[in-house]
Amino acid sequence: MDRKTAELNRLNNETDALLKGDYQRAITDIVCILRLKNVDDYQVEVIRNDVTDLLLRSQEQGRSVEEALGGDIRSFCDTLLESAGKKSFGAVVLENLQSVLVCLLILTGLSFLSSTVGKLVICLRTGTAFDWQWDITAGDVATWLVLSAAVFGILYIALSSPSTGKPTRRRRWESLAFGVGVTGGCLLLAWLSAAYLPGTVLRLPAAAAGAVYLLAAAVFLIHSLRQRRRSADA
Amino acid sequence: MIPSQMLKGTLEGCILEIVRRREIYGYEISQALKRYGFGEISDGTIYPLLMRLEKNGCITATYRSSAAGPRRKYYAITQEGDSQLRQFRASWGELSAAVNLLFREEEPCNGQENR
Repeated sequence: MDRKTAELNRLNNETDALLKGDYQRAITDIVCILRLKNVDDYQVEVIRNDVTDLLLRSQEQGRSVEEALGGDIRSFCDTLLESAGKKSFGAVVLENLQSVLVCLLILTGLSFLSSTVGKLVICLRTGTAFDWQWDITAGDVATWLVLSAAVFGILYIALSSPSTGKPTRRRRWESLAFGVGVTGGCLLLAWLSAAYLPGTVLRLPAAAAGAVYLLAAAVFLIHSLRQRRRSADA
Repeated sequence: MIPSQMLKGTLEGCILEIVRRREIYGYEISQALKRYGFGEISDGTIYPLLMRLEKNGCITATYRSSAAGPRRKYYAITQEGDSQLRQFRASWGELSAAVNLLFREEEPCNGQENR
């Protein structure tokens, strides 16, 4: 969040506090929808400022939220989204990249754990020495790349979707089918990779890999906490 | 009460005309529309239209402190807005003339027209 946006965000936080009950819930919902739909951060704060002003007036006059907005919140947001400035493709990529990197960290971490623990169990059962190496196969790399691309694609499609309408029963079933399909596809991919691409492409010292993961997890945690604190202060 | 579908195509042009007359803020626009017989148009209906007009460069917005209380967002028309308004007026003139002619030719409405 740049300084101009942070300043307006601080001002909006003060004004928001004057809204009560349904009005407070309404502005929260509206801001959430706009942020989810990739509206530029500064534009979100400008709209928030204007709509809070509108709701405050309605609160004073005793009008309901629906009367103030001329309909339900979703329809109101749909009309706003037609005119609201969206984040640039580069900005969306950068933001989604964080999610993809976290996904990659988790995927590779799980792979590291399963590989290392699996090997340790075999060594304990057979009485052989543990070689303290992490074997990364071609299948592993293929799985990570495809899943990361899938996460990015799903995030991008979901956030680009124009409609905020209430999900119909059909849409819910479609979403469920999509989720099941994606999960099944991921499991199939993992199995195929293990079966057809077993060749090792990289060997890393397990201790070093473990230390890197712990460091990466710590950096991510600190970064998240700092971002949260910065938002709270703003 | 004017049906919302009928209002849909004309409200933007009417708002432009109101803004053209003087610098004005959102709530005053809804009050002005009410005075001219448009009925109760909610702020939530007007606000997205103002956003679109601003995005298209037809109006500009500036925040001003008011003596009464919080600062307000005042809208003013631009050259582009003037041009759009002229086009709207011309289109409205054509449409209203056509509709009025249609209704005038139908009179007298006593069931004898098709004989």
